[in-house]
Amino acid sequence: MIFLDPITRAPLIGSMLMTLSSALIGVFLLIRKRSLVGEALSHAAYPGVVIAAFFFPQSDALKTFCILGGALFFTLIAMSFMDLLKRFRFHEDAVLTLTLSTFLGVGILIASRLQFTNPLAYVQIGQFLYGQVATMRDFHILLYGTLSAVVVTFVVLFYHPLRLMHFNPSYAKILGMKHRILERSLKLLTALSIVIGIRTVGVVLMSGMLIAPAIAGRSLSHKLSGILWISASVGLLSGFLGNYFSTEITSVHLPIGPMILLCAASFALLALFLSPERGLIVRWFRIFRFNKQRREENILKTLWKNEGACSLQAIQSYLPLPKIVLFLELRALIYQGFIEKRALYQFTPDGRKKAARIVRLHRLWELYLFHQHRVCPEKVHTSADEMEHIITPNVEKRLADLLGNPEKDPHDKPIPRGEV
Amino acid sequence: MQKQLAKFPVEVEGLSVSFDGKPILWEVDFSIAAGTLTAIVGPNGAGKSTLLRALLGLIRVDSGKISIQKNVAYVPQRCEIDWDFPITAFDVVLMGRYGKLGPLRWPRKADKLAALAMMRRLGIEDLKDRQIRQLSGGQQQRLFIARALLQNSDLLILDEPFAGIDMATEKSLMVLFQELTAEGKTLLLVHHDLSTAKEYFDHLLLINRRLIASGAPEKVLSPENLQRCYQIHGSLLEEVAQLSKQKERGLST
Repeated sequence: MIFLDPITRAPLIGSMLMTLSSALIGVFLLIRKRSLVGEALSHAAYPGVVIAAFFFPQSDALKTFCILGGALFFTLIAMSFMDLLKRFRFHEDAVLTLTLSTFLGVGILIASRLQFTNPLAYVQIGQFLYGQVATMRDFHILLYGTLSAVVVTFVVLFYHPLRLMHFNPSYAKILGMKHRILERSLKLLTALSIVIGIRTVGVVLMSGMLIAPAIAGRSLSHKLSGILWISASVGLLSGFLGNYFSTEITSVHLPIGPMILLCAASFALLALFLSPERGLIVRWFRIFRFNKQRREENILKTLWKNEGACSLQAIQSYLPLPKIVLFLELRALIYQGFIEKRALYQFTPDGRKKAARIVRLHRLWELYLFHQHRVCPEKVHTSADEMEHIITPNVEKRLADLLGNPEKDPHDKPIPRGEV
Repeated sequence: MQKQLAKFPVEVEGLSVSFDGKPILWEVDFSIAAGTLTAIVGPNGAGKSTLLRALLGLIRVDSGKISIQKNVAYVPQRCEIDWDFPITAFDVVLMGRYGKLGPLRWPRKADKLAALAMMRRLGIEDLKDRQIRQLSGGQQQRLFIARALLQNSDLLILDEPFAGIDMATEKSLMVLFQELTAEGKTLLLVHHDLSTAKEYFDHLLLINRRLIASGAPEKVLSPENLQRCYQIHGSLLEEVAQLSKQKERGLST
């Protein structure tokens, strides 16, 4: 429906094509840790837009090309300007800041003048500062379609050389790759994507369109191909949802460009939460699981100290836990088959084995600190209370070998035998 | 068919390199014989890595002649690698075949099988799907050696292969290097630790800005060579040479 309606068709398809190409290009900026380049370049395009509007006030397809050309020209000038500044050994952030503000300043200067001499052109320039999707026409679909096709083809054809060049440029050189040409092509496509993108989301928000989908991709995958797939999907989906939310859902028409960016940013945040390796949710879950394991092992240890049988009150006097937590953990231990409840809580044979291992780890660690690091016996207990939950079977074996399979800890208490 | 081995895969004559007006190498001459295991040794900042980078054509040289065979297998320094880069161990090794593929070709099945076989040889096959940060220091080093070996070159250049790994791993890598030398490959690497240099290598290049000595380890590490090597810093020679470079480039007042 929204894809066919002649009024919504062009903005929708146009912005989806544009977000697709900027999402792909953004991945390469992100993995090279050069996200700010997008910010500087999109602002640098602004004077190009202004000058083109100044000279070609009539409104037709020719003008769109002039504006794009002007923007592209200034973006490329900004790239050379940055290369020049870098030769003076300033850090990249200084170079980018200077470039951004200088070019934006030139643009504002001309635009302010235009406000009085040519108000019509001034209004049109405003579109490029904040983006103007709603006025796109079918001809834009063609233009953006071509660009996206070029970007996608480039990334697919040169996927391997591009990855090598970003990962290990010196190796690319040694293998005899023509990385200069590749690098320049990528730069040109970056400039093109930015220039075309500012029609949709504007100079100010453009860099977000480059980076947000890439961040979503990076949080969910550790392969470049995966990141590119996810980023492209997030780009397309944000382009679609941005249009959908601002024209179909709300009765007041919200601006489409910022809406697209908000969608992309939400995807990025969501991906950060859900990331399988470093995501907050996964980490909360792991912390929760570790704390639970620690409580359970402490309960087993308490039972061990009390000859394998204990009442709830007695356990509580050793472990300062809320009664309800303690009760639930005891239920969990019963469910797992490590303890059973008769008159008192007491070990099953499996529970006794598990408790013995914890005590063994505790005492091995105490002995290790005492022997190898000359920590005095009164001070080894606290560290051992922590490490008994952490030591893996592999570390346990190495500890035992190192200490010669000891039988007594520094306090002369017996160290339970390990399982073979 | 066996390739005709050059007798000296690396030959250097009068090599000088400077960086930002500071001379790093002056007039270095040496050659590396085929089938040897050679280490470049010298103090910090002596220009060891710079020498390798010059050999590989990665930096501009001021003067001198370098002749080096084509297709050099290279293992970069650890700090050159972005370990957070989104790439798996297998994909790193596969890069060793990129030189043989054209720019537009994707790796073929044969390339992938060869990469897997090389990982198996170096005992890192099980780690193929891991992101590279999740490997230990020794495994990471093996990864890049596997990539270099996949290039199938007779000349292997390694920049500080023992940096940041423990003694046991160092020893096991040394065994591997000796195996490779026995297969007829030529190995040239940068080494940091003078105390182990004598037992590890059959050939040493002692440098500090200049080539101090080259040849068999016992001869190279003689007390007077070492003294010469460690006294160059801050010498008048260095100061004047630096001044001359800076004058040329308009950097000196």
